[in-house]
Amino acid sequence: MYANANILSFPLLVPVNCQFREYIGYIQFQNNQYPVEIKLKSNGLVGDSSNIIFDDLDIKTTDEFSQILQPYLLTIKNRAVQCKDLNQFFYELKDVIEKIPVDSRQQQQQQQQQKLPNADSKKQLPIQVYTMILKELEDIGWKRIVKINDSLNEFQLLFSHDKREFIVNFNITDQYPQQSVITNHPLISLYSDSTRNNIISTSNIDDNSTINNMRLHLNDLYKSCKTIRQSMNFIEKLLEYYHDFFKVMDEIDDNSWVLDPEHPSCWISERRLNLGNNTSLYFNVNPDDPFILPRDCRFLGPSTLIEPYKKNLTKNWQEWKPNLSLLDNFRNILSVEFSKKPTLGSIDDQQTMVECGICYSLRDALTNNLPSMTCENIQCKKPFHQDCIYEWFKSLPSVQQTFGVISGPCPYCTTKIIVSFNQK
Amino acid sequence: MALKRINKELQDIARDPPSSCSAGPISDDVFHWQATIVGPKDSPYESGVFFLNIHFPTDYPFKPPKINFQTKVYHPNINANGNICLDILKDQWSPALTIPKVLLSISALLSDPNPEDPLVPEIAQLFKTDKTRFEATAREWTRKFAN
Repeated sequence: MYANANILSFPLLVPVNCQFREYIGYIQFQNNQYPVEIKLKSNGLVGDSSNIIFDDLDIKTTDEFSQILQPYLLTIKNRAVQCKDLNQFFYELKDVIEKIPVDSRQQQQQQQQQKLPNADSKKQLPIQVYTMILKELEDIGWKRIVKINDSLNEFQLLFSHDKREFIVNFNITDQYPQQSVITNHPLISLYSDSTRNNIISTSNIDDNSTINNMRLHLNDLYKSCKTIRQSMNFIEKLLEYYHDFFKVMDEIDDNSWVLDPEHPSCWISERRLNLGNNTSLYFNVNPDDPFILPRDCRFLGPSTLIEPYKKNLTKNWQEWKPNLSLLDNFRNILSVEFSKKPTLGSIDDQQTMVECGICYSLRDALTNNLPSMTCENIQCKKPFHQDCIYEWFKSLPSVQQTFGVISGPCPYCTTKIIVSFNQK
Repeated sequence: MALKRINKELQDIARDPPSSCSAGPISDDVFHWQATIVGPKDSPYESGVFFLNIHFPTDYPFKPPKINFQTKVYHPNINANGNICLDILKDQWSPALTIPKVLLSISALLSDPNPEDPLVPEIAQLFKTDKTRFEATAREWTRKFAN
């Protein structure tokens, strides 16, 4: 019953004819089956005493499988010559194949497959937390969720307020609901920054009692917000609270040429507006009370040009009317005009007016700062990044450098420019 | 920073091409440009087309670009290797200068050689002593090499 003995070794290999000298089928190796054709070419009778001559053995298979077998060919040959027929050979072949170690690449894949569930389980939260989250999310409604990860511990919720949409990230830890779940959002930083600033100012501003009460209320809410619901409530209250501030910032952005920040958004309270003639106005709107005169009003540009603005500000600041818009107030007090940013096409010439005369960019490549130095010559007025002009002066042999101040000629008109470099 | 500024200059040249000269990168390397200057009128270089090599240093515009003539020029301030003796390419460089401005200055140098600060003393000598012969040779070289 030699004829069927191969079934034990390779059940997928079948004889082509009754002489049992030719087999066709598949050989199983690790988790794959490879097509194989095996033929014994010599005319010697099957079952006679002579052993297989390896050269008579013709094995055809795929490239992949022959590559796997390649290092073991000698072993297979040695075994084959000891065999009396193909069945015996199959038995030996199976033995060899079974001893081939698992390919290292496949091993890695298998290990990774095993590891993955482990890595996931680390992120997993206790079951009671999941129950809470799921219940809360159901209450909130899945429509509000913009994005959620597989382990449900990180998600984004959509808030809309006055045609504006905010996406806030939430991160749930296994401490839930003991820790805050809101991850850094500019809105929260706006709130916490102004809280810090207000520690000083609230004490001496008595007439802002409504604002103070509002803030106290928000502070309570912020401290107590632990669950998703509470956090959402806090954010909604915050959006309501900053409603006026957002409107003021929108109005500024819509009606003036904002130089800084590059992408003005309603939760950034600082603005630097182009006043033309290489001068600009910097201010920081108070998010708690956006209608009052902003903090840190500063002017940038050639001193002869900004001197009148400074004078006007010190003379007229009491004229500030909270019922007027911020830009209107500045117009009245400083007697300035705000122009909108030119649309593309006409932008080039005006753009170069505010770009650094050395690197030809608006923003410094390293610090992202805007040009802060200007040539004092009214005919020239070239703006420069402080770093650029400092770098240029340093390379000049004739330049004087004393006590944190370096001065040299304007690259354009040779008027003396003084750069202080205390921070360096 | 240098890259941004060079690209900006390239845009400016494309938008407002300078008269009688052109410049632009040879290949993908924006730090390596080629420029042409058309010989200025009423000079022995008239109607000649001169090719120049421009190499921007990595600390451009704090350091001047390296510019040399590829075309042979008979000039007291330009030597056989095409090196140019021009103050703004050396100690008088300023970041306010741009490639079109520099090319314009080189063009002006062609019209108006400076024999007091020569790079090739023999040509400077000839320029001072026998201007007709100098101009004839310069014209001959222009016809031969810059056409």
